[in-house]
Amino acid sequence: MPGLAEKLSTRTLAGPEQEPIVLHRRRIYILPTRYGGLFALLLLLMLIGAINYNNSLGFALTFLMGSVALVSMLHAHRNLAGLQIRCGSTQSVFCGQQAVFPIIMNNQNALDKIALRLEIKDNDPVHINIPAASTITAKLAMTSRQRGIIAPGRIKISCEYPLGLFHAWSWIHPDCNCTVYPAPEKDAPLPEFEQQGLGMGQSRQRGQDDFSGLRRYQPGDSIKTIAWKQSARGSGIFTKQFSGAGGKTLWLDWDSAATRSLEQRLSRLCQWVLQCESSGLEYGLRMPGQNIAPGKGHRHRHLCLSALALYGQRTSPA
Amino acid sequence: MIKAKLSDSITPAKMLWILLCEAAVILPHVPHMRIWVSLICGLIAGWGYLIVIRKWRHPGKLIRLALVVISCVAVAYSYDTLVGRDAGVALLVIMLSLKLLEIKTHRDVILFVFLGYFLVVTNFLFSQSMGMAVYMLFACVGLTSTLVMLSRHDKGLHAVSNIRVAGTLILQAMPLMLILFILFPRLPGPLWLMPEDKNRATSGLSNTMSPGEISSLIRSDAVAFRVKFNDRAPSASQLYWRGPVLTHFDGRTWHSRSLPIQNRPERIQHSGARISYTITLEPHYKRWLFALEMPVKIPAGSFIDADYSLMANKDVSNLIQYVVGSHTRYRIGNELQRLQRRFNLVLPPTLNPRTRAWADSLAQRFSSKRERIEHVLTQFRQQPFSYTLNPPLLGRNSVDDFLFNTRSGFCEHYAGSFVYLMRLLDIPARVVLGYQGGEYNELGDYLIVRQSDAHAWAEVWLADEGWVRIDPTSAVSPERVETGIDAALPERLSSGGLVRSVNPLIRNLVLYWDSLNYRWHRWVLGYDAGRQRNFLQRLGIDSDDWQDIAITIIVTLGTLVLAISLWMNLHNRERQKDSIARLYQVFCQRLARIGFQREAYEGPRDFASRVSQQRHDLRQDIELITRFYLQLRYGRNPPEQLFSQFRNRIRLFKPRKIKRSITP
Repeated sequence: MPGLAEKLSTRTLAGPEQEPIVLHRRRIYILPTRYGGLFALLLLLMLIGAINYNNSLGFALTFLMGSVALVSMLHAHRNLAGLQIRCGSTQSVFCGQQAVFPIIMNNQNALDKIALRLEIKDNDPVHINIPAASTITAKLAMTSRQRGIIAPGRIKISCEYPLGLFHAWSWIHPDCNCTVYPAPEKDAPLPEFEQQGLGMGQSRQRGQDDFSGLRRYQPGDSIKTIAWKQSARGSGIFTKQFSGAGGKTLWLDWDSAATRSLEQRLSRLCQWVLQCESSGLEYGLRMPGQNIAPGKGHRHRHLCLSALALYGQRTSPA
Repeated sequence: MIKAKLSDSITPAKMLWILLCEAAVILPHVPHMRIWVSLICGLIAGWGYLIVIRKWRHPGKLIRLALVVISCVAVAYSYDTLVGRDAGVALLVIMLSLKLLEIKTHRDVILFVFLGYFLVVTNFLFSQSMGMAVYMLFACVGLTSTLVMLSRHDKGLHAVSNIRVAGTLILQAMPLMLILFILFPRLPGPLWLMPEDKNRATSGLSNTMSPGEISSLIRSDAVAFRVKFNDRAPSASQLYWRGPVLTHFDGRTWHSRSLPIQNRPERIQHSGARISYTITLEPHYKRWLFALEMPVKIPAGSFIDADYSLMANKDVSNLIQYVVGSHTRYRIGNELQRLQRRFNLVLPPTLNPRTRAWADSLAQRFSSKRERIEHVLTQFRQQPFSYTLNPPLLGRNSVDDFLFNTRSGFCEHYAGSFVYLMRLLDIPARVVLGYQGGEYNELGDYLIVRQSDAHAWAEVWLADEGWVRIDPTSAVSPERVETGIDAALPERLSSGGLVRSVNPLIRNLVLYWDSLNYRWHRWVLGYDAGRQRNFLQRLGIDSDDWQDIAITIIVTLGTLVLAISLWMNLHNRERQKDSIARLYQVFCQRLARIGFQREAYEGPRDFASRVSQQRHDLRQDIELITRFYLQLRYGRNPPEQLFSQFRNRIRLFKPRKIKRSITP
């Protein structure tokens, strides 16, 4: 029965929808819950009792509670109707972590939306209240099981408010996804350094703190390395260069990360990227069919990790 | 499925709420339950509460099962049965309490609430008064708000908000209930017979009469039945409401005893206009139906027995309504068969020697039976007989004692001794019980007949007239019949008869309350298969046509549901309009606090420009808010996000007074 209901109610939902998704009355489905069925049975018993004792108030109460159940169906329906939904931007995660999809819900009605339940299939549901005329973001977590791009697919948004006798629901398919980087390999060996002939910093033994010059500030530079004196002259912000850090460029090479399987290789490369980034080195990535020029900073890191995440998956929609 | 979550657990506040609901539902049952049942419930409720607040362990399955078995046995032992109304309710109440012991999650509470609804219905088996209905409506709001609380899936109680939601649901359900109440087919008679409960304490006439029995009834102001006449009501002296007929005397008590061979009564010969009226009879758990002497057109499900009493086919255990047509000019019992004659003449031998002697002398003096009757009545009238509610006690020869010693008594004394005398004088006679008179309620245009109107009179059989009603009480106290019991017995008022108090204000209040009750009885409680048929006929619906009824129900319900859903949306939109105005009000109040009072003649735009000129720092905010407000309030199709923007702006708008020291 739930299977059939799901099939019928998702029939018109072919793929991702255009945002904002509005829960129109027509896309809300409603069925009694188990307790709704039990309640119907109770009403039947009460009705038989009323008939048998010819008890007018017994009839009245039975009809009243039946009508209350009927009206509660309208309330459950209204509790969902009119909701505007969009998906916020997601943060990339490493494989095995929880991908979080921020579902932004805007309730423009004059009444609060109470006890809405959002659920990505096979993941923990989220219960949420949305006050009248306001916007609330529900964070839906989804466990990432493999690298690449994951999307929550159909999300079920439902409620059993106000009496728990009826289950009202709607399926939404927001157009959102999350990049899942490969899981970084634990205890990976350090990458082999390949020196680039830039004329500087060949000698690693100089120590990392040696000042080697100034360059223009780039986003992502640590605030500690800014040359405040020079910057204060008003001709731009400068960053101090140290021979140990900036003077070396690493190429993380596909071939040097030779391990047993593809996924392990990707995991190792991922770990290397993270290590380079945390120690402030400039690094490039060399992969079959794709080279990423050396660089550093948050965007560069994402570029590299995404390339690893999507390796061999180019066919899937971005 | 949902995993057990923290929000599904029962907090102490929630538990207290649940206990309150339980108490509200059980409370009306307390007076008619055995005391131990109430005590056990209280104990279990306390235990259940402690389990939640002290985090005690829930009792295991085995203990709970044992408790169930023990309580079943206890109920069976205490009530002699497990089925039937009283034992059933006791069992249900105990089960409801035991359910408290296993409340861990919301799921358990839902079942508990469902049981609670069922218990509400059982209350109506004991009382269907208006007060009970209103009380139970509130109990339902309480139970329903518990369901609302559970469906919120959070830790809070939200009592006020839940009650509001439950109240709204119930109010919106009212019209639907009304439609179902009117249209849902009522079946005549029970589906199966339930065992009748013993020891039903009722007040009302019984089928025996001994000295003091009616006078104790007379102190009760309880309503016996109410009568609505189709035309004008007959005069007070004609209002004899016939009940059981008593023919057998054992020396002290009169009994009703039917003939071994029941023969059908002869047809009642009648003349004059027919009086049609509807009687709403309170349940008295006996079979007789009261009607004005003599009923000719009788309701369905009833018959007239050999003594011309109107009898129902079964005990009157519910409030019922019936329509009767009577004639006050009638003739019954043209012929008296030998057996019947002997039945109405037989007396226990040897008792009351003085009365016997007096009867013998009368029999010698008067040969005509009419003369004998007249003489006895004259004696009642002329000798110092008095009509009193507190007659002295009578000895073994009760008739002798009354006629020659005490000479003060109530209607049962007069009727009893009169019939006794008549039998001694060879005139077939019997005692008739019933009610005489009633109080007219002008507010509701109906007659109230109370237990205090209970009366006993006599019927004698004369060869050329048949059975003739003779009321010996009226010979002693004519006021009793002409103006009612209170005029005849002023002492009754001082003994606590508040109802017909002399104070006109209290009297009117009492009558007003009674007319409300009468309408309640007539239209709500008495709405049965017959009444439904009549009512639907007036609406042009044939109640025999199930299809017709089903279509009517579906169409009306559908229309109503649609109307409610439209109203709900309208309400939703209106609320937003209101909140726009309210938010602007907040904005104005905040400006007023820093010294910019909006004048009555000032429009929003003028106000904004006045304030902006003096406070350049606030200019941007004020102009934006005013623009939003005008657009929301008066603009055509304002963008959907505008309202929340407007709201946020106002929330953040917290202007302060400028300090003097800064301004140069």
